Amino acid sequence: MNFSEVFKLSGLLCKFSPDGKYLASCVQYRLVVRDVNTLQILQLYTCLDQIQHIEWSADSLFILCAMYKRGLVQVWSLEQPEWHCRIDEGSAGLVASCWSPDGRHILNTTEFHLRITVWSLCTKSVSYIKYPKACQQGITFTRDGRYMALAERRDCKDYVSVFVCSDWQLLRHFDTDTQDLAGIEWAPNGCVLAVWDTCLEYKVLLYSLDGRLLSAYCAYEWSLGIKSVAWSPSSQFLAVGSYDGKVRILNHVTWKMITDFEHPATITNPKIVVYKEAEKSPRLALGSLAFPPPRAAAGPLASTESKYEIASVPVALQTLKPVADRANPKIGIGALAFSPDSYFLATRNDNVPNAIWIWDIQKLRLFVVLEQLSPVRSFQWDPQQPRLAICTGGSKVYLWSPAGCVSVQVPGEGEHCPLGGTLANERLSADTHHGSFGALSGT
Amino acid sequence: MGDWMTVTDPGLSSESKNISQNTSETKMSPSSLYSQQVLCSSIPLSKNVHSFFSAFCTEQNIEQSISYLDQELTTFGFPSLYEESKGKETKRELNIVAVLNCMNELLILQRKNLLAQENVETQNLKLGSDMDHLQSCYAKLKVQKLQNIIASRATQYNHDMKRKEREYNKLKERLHQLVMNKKDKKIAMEVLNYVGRADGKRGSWRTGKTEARNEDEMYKILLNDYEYRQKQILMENAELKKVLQQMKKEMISLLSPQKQKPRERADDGTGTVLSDVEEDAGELNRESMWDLSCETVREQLTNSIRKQWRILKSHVEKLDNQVSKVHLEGFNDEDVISRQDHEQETEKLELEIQQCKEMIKTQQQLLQQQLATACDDDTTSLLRDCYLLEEKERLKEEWSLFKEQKKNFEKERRSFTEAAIRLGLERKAFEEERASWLKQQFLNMTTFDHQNSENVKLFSAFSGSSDRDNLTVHSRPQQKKPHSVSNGSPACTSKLTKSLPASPSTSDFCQTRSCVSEHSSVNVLNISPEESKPNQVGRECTNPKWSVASRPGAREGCYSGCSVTCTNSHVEKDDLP
Repeated sequence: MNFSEVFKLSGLLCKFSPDGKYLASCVQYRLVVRDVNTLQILQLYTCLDQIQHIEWSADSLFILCAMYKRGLVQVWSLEQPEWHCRIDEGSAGLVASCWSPDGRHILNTTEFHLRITVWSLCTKSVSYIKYPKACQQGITFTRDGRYMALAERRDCKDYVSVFVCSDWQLLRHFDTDTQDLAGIEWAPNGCVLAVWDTCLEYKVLLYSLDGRLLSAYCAYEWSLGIKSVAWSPSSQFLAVGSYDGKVRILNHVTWKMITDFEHPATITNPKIVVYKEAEKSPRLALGSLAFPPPRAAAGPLASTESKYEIASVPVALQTLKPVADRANPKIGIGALAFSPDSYFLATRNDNVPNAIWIWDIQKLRLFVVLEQLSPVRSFQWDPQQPRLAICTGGSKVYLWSPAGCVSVQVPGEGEHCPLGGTLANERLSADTHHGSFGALSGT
Repeated sequence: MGDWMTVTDPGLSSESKNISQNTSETKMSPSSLYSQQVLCSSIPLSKNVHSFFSAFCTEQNIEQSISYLDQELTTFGFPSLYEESKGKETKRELNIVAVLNCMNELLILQRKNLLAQENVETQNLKLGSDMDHLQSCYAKLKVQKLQNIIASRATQYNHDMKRKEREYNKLKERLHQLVMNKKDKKIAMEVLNYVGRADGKRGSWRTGKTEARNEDEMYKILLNDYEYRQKQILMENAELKKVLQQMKKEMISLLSPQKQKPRERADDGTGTVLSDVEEDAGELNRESMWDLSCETVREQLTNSIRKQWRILKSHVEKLDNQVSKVHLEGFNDEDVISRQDHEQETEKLELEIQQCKEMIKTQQQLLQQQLATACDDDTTSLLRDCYLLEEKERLKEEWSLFKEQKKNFEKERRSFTEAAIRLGLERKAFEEERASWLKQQFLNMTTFDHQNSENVKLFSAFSGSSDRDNLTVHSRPQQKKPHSVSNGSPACTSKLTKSLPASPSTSDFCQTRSCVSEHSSVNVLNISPEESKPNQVGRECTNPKWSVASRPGAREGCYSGCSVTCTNSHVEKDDLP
């Protein structure tokens, strides 16, 4: 693994373009666009205020920079650097901004979630959508970019509106049988919409594209319910992670649970491989190092190298006792992600924060457990192959694939440590196929 | 009644035993009566109690015990044990009737008390179970109560939330109005130039048509998805059906050989199976034609599979039972061999196999040893040829003999050729002589008549022979015909002289002719067994007839003595013209 030199970043804003050619990063109020291969600066844009959010358009031609404090959105073009566009929400304020799938409309969510303004870059038309819901995941676009589903709340009831993205026509508007809708998500095939309720009530509703209720699923009552939801890329499975530490897999034929995955703190099955991160003190690191050593020499605060060891079953993982009285306790399945080929599901149980569980979906059983030395902050799958990247806030990045796992030291200065990551599409060039990984450090 | 315990007299313990034995008798002797004591109702009667019984009353203190008992009983309300006294001074007599009555009463009382005790105990148990039940109910009720509380609180919470949300919405509306009314010029979009659409087309107005189009598209997408999924499911169904059909066939085939054996336990199952097999065969034919997903076909398939599976299951169970039965009971069934015996047999067979294998191995080893033992080259070569040694020796001898003979033949041949040459020369000389003689004779013909006949003979002989020579020369190839012999050696020599340059076959002819019995014992090595009859050949040759050995192989063996026979050949005068 090769690492580039470190370049400055602020606010964890670093995004690869959808076509994998460019890398956009922010430094204070400047937007820097680099070439992925050479990392040379291609463009440099200056915005009016500190940037809080950047987003590439789907065709990689435009980047939007949102400045929430000023209520401004600036859009830059890659083809025509002199082109500029500025959207001012004024007194309405701005809390969120995103692109539409065609890359020609910008959806701004005003303060207090009063409305969503749809600005068009092609025409001077502006559209408003009233009563958007302020929830975890209120807007979702289908993969092909045709339809947008929006969660709304009127008169203490939840609704879902389906818009046609080409002309913003309201296609369907239906109410949902939820107490307090927490999130909506389209299936990758664009025909089914998953709607889930607040954590006070375990409820998953599945709606067809034309608004018919296909199925409702409820695993249990009273205890805290759903924490995270993920569709498999093939649209065959819906994984629902809940506060009881289980992931329930629903199948697309009957919309009933086919299995549930438990996350116990002790692993006893000998078929499961458990990788434990172990520190290697530098002095003892003589002889062959199993993994590529860091390119740059370690700084004064030498972060120790680490490697993975295979722990023999039974393995007891480190658990965290959650505080009983507070809201949003650190228990349950906080993060879920399917691999791009739908073969694997990676989960994190907040109760056992240092570990990542990887499940084999073909056999519907636990495959591998990775235990890190510090709590896992985020993980992401490679968009094209079953390769998982994990970061824990240390100075290392961890990669797992069915062939094995590796811990890589990210060259950085002292206290900087990776907090998040973004993965680019694999770029097919004449000679090489390689996946790029951007590791973001927080200062 | 506790004081009577202290009255016991330890010295009377032996007597008490006797008395206790007496108590078992039904005789109502006074002593036995006294020894029976009724203790507390709760203590059951046991052997040890008898000691207590005797402890109260003994031979010595009868009067005292009677009086005491009387006191006690009267306090309990029983009639007195004594007879009515006539006077104060006289000793009161024991009223036996009263005593018996009292005893009876006491027994009745005892029984009543026992019953009461039982009742109390059962009641106690009932109450205990009731208590448990109630406690559990109470716990459940508690939980329900708590749940109700939660539910009520939840509703309350929801209601409050809704109220707050309504308020909030009102605020939002108000704010929205304010914001909209202000028409803040700041809310604007400033853009250098408009960007073209992503798909390059022009934007279209939103009309009813577009709405309808959108609806259509949406339904199309949905339908496509459903069709795709249905295809997948149909494929899966077809595969599963195939698998089921296969399973059914296999199950039928598995079960059918068993049916042919007459089982002792012919249940209904076997009878039905036979009919099922026939049915299923028919079904199979039908089903292969209908490869549709009809309800009836599906049901048929599942039903038949279930039937077969049931039969298979029952069969397996039967087998299991058999096995277990035999295992437990031993040789009950003649068909079935007990497992132990079976195992023993198999062990024996295995041993045998092992032994045989070992034997084969050792034999192989020995054989190899024999063949592969390291020895000298000479011995090996000798050994190699040991079987043929005798024959080889004989062969060698014969070969040497043959070589000798060959040499001899060569010698003789040379001598023959020399002799032939000589003869030729001699013949020539003789001819000249003859010619001169003839001349002389001719000149002297008139003088000598008596010589004519001889000369004529000779002349004719010679002329004839010369003619015959010509004849024989031509007819030589026909070797099989017996030729008339020429007279004497001169004919022979003439033949020879003619024959020698002519053809080798003539010399062969002569030679074969003259092969002599002198060497009749010659072993002809090169002749095949059917050919080698040298004696015959020899005999043929010595015959006056000139039959020729037709076998070419015989020539070689007949070289010897050619010239001798030639000169010695008899002359047949018969053929002379």
